[in-house]
Amino acid sequence: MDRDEQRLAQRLVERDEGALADVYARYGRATFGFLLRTLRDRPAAEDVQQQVFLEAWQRATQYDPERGSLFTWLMTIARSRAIDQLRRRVPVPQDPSESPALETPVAPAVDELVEHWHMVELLRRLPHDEAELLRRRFYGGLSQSEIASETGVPLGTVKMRMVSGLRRLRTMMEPEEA
Amino acid sequence: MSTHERHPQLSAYLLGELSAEELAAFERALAEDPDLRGEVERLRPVIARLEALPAEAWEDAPEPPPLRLPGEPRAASQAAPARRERRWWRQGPLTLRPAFAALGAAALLAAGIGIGFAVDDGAGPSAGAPSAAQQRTVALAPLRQGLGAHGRALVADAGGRERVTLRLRGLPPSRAHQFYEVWLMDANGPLIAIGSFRVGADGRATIELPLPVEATRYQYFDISVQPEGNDTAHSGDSILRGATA
Repeated sequence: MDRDEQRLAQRLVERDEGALADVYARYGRATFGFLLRTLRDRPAAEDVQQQVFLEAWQRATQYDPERGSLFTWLMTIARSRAIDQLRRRVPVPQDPSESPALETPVAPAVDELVEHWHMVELLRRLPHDEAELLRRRFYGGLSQSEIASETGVPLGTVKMRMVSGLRRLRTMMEPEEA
Repeated sequence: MSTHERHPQLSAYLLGELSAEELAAFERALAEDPDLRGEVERLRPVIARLEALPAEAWEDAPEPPPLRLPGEPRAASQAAPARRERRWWRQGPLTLRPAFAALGAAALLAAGIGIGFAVDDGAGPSAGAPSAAQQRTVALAPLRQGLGAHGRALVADAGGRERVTLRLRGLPPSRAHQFYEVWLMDANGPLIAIGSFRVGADGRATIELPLPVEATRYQYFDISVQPEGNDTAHSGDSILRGATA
């Protein structure tokens, strides 16, 4: 957890009145992106987004920085509320006398999306040149040589930034995996 | 000297960009250098996670809605009204929704009979009833085994806008902090809550509701038991359901 996040978490725990808005400004886009991709329904995602941050405010004193970053905690809440929402989508049986209970497991798919959006948040924290390089490689599908050719950055610099970006991501991932 | 400085092909190895000769040379270095092996093992999971990211994860995340939390921190509420916006289909006269208990609906429901739209045991829809050609009746079947609930939904076009009259019998009387909600629903699609009501000891209710959309745009009428609170989603506890057409 970086220092800004530590300070923000502390303010939230102390129920600083502006803290929630700052938390929302910092993480609202990531949680909403996750919810939108998970629920595939913008009105539902907007509703759940509000629930997540309301819950974060109401449960702020329960947040324990020893157990993970503030973002991880928010994503844990978002995951739970997203699963709740998915389970409420009662499938309509062909025979109305059937039970509407929803048995389809949704947690594994949601967990995969949580992991993806966690990575998105970590990428957002990288220096721009490293994040852009990783984007060109893993989204654009370019090799390091192609990136060097396309951007005019020397190949040696591309390789150095690549390793630097990967290391930085690894370092950010480690506290969450502990 | 860092691992990368000693092994400038580290990233190319991790990304699978080495030629056969370069690969063989790098693997010899790996066999001889435990620090290099450790670095490769540290970074491989990062590569795996980046490669697993779907394309949409790399695209700009959508703009989130404004934060709207009733009665919560000043900074948050300044950016938005003090209460949650309702969706368009919850606007207008359909305000009898205990999910908005803080807004006073719960107080109305505590009286035992909903108001804001008719909840009675009368004989039929309100005045100005359309002709038979403009109306249809569908049956509502119970979704709980052993429940004797049943009902009918009369959908009528009243001046270009549909209304539904639900005549329900055999419903369990509403418990404290619970209410019934009427929905239009599709399989695996979004639901629309169209009205709420409570049921007395006789288990009967007749409810007339304006429909915000044509009923046939959805497959089913659904009636669920909902807990009071701020959660406006379907509880999953459906009592009655019937096709809209």
